[in-house]
Amino acid sequence: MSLMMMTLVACSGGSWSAQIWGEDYVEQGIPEAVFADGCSVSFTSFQVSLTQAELLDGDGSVVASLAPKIFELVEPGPQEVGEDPAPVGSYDTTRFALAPQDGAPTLHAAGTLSCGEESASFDWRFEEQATYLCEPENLSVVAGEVATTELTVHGDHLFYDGLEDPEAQVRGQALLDADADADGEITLEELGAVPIAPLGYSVGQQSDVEDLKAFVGALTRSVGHVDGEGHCQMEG
Amino acid sequence: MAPLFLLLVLLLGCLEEPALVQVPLSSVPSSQRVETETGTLTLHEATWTLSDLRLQAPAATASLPPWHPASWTAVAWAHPGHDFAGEVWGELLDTWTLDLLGEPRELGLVQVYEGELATASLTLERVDLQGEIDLEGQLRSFSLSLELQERVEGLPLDVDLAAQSPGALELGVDLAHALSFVDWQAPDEDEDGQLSLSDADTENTLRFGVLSTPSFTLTWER
Repeated sequence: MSLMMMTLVACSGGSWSAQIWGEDYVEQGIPEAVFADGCSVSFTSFQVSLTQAELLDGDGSVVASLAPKIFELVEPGPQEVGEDPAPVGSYDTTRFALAPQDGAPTLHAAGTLSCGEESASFDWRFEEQATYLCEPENLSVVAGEVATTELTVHGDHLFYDGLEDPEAQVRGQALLDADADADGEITLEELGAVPIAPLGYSVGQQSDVEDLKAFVGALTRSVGHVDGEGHCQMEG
Repeated sequence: MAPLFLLLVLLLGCLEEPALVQVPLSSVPSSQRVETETGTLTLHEATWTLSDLRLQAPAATASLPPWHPASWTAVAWAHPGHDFAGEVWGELLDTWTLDLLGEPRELGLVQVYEGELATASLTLERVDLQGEIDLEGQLRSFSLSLELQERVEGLPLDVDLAAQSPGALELGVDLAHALSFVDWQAPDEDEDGQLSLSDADTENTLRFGVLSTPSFTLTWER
């Protein structure tokens, strides 16, 4: 490629934009059919704090970056994160980070968990942080156009019964049973009082996770995906 | 064209495979007496069946050269079941039924490439435990057998292996940790006169403990 051609390509860039979406599970709830133990969940809030949204080139350098923002994912989505100029080219890495900012936790989930005739509300705030390196398929920035990546947040992951088990199932009964004072609200303190070992849940390598609060906290780090079902690598 | 070909040859030379080393693996016995929060366990049988030891390179991408096949995959995925360790750098594929109360045993030679090792993994196939616990002067016997076939990942192993520095690997089981989650005072629900898997949450708590990563030790001995 001649120097003139390279200069032309570099000067006529396009843009990269990102969206964030909790899909139907967050907006409308997780139906009974998804749970292995017949429970269901509806969310009144599912707020995530996005502190980093970046497009990386092949050298790992940031070529586009979007401003941090807090999103309420029960609102209909996908929601726009932002847009930034980016050089023309094909890209295979985006980086997203979820972390506390401006007094907001990484993830705030509130709603109602129902199992059969029983139900209880929850209002949980988690500070666990995660940085995701995601590999969007066919992401090309074309001159004068906008290439979009979606950070998809999987709300059902908060109810998995395994931290690293590919056969993990979505369960709710143990969380509902954690309401020790039976006041109809499952608090984080109550989750913290429930040991994991008797539940039949698995923690894989995360052997420091020994109670339900730490368990759900660890699961919050697994909610980030790209473009629907695309998996992301967790950095650090 | 000739200079380009020479450059390619030189580059291919840089990608020379590291040397393969054979490292002896042996098991080390556990103590017959185990202290728990509720009392002292005396084990009459502790037989664990293990298989397929694999040794992995560090997961951090920065520690691997960019051309290395593990440089991209060797990090955790944000999804259960996708928590990859580093690239497999060595392995010994076999099955061993270990009497943890017996003598040390040679398990074989691990074939492993020279280089940095960070973690190991193995399969726990079965656990058989028999013994009694002293609950403030009252002896309660237990008989616990679990079929598992579960992979245990992430055993820490900090070794920079070089062909010129011989050593050996020792595999042990920390029974104190593995059995620390069991409620030894659980009610005898099946009325068989001893603590068994069907009593309360014993199956879950035993499974949790024996599959817990710190229940295994893998140490490098020079």
